[in-house]
Amino acid sequence: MNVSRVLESTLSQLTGALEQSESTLKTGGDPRVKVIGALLVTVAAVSVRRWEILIALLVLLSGVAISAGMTWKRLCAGWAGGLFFAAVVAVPAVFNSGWQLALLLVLRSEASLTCWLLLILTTPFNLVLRALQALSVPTVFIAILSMTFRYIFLLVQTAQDMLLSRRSRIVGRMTGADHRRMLSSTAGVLLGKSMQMSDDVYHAMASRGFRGEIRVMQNFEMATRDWSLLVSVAALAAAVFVTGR
Amino acid sequence: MHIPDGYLSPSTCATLYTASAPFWYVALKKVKARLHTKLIPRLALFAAFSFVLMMFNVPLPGGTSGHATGVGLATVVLGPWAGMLAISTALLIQALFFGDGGITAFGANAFNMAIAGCLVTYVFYRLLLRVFGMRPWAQAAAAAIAAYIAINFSALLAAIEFGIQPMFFKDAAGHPLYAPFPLSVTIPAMLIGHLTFAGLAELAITGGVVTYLKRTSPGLIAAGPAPFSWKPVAAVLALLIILTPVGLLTAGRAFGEWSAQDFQNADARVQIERAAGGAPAPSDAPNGLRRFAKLWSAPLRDYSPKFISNPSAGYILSAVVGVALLLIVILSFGALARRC
Repeated sequence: MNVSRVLESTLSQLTGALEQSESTLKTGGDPRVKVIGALLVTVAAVSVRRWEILIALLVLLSGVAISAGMTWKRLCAGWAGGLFFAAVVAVPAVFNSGWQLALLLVLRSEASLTCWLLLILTTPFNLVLRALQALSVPTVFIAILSMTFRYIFLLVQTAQDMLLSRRSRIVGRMTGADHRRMLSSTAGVLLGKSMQMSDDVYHAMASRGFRGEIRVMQNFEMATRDWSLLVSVAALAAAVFVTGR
Repeated sequence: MHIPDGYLSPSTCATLYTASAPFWYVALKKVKARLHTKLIPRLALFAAFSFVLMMFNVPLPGGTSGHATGVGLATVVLGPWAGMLAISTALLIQALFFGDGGITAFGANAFNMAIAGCLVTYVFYRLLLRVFGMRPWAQAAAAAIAAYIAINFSALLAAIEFGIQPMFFKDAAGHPLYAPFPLSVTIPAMLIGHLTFAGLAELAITGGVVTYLKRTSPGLIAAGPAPFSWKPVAAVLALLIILTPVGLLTAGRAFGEWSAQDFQNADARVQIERAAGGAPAPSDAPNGLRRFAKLWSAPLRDYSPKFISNPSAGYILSAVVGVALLLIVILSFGALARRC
């Protein structure tokens, strides 16, 4: 398969993954609690030194994910993110330091991945961002993150269209150097378009009254259910941390 | 190079978040002052572009392929400070949505790729532009080479972070708890891949895009050697100075750097014999070595000033003194050359 087709396929998978990453599962609960909970559980999982505890945590998180409506296929696709380092570091570690350490490395990474996958798939991204803002992350970062996420879709679509139009005009085989030239010019055009688009977006924002200040509506209220979720997650993280030492 | 969660200890992750925070703060201040209200759309669009660029697998000689990180382009187009913010944002989106890099390891990934990558690219890009002058290929060549050096520097930092794990984080039985391989394994392992495939992909895509932009949108990249700013150079030097205590972690002395006293030390003798391929070390230091060792006694011998008890602080002070002396020598030569 030639490089532009591989790239097109990668971009198409990326679009699919981005669309899938938008919250599609049963939502509910205060997003601040979910973000704090994900952070606490991740830090606890990373600190664990016993693989049995990590297996128990992974089973629990997977159970929560499946009960929230996540498919096994999506869950396994999420776990695949940790497999590259597992192959490069954890597998050689079996021969160097034993299978227990290799298992620990893989399980820590997969537990953290599951935790954040669960957060992202059960919480709309705009709520995650508002939760981050409520947790004192600077507003300017929130705004940049939010716009970046939105424009990735557009740029991926633009890149796909450019590659398709280029491929439809190519006859015969291309050499590696031809591919490099084509990818460089595609990336160059995309960069030019991005910069042009950033000016257009800025003018659109300025014409609507944007003066550099960002105000976000904050209407989170902690219900009893949220407090009990926060206490449960904190207790889980503490239990994982203490028993995993 | 996107380090996932669980391979670095929580304290390493916390240290690297702490190390990254001042750079993010300064970058935000500088970029806000320069772009003002344009800051948000410009950084967001470039972060989105870097994200998409990381999907571009470039075919490399030998039938392999690799992808660029966009660090070189970000620095050349946006400058080092805006570049580090844009790349950090792209890395955070990757970690959140694709599990490419961990959340606890985000500080480490941003430090290696976004912060160190952009600063190193900037320093080498400016230096190389001065060397290449106004030749038509100068910008593309300078950007490509600077990006190649930067990605390898980032890989070296990641290798150091992995390599120090088994030294500091072990269980009671002495088994490693995180990445288990020592520096002698992690540095070559990371650098071989980056000096070849990943580095070449960064070089090819950065050089190719800058060549294309110079032809079609020259306004996007600075024309010719711009006024040199010492601030990013100072930031890189500060970064390297902070990292000097890593030298304390290596066991024994470098090959050929043994002192006369080392021939009386049992551990050092073992190292000398190992380095000599098993040949027995002389029972006493050779005469010449003993005689000339007394000729000069360095004031900061072994990078450990006598008035500082903490070895790390000694290393850092030695690095500061060394850099200051080098600057004095270079600036004096420069002044002398101008006068002649």
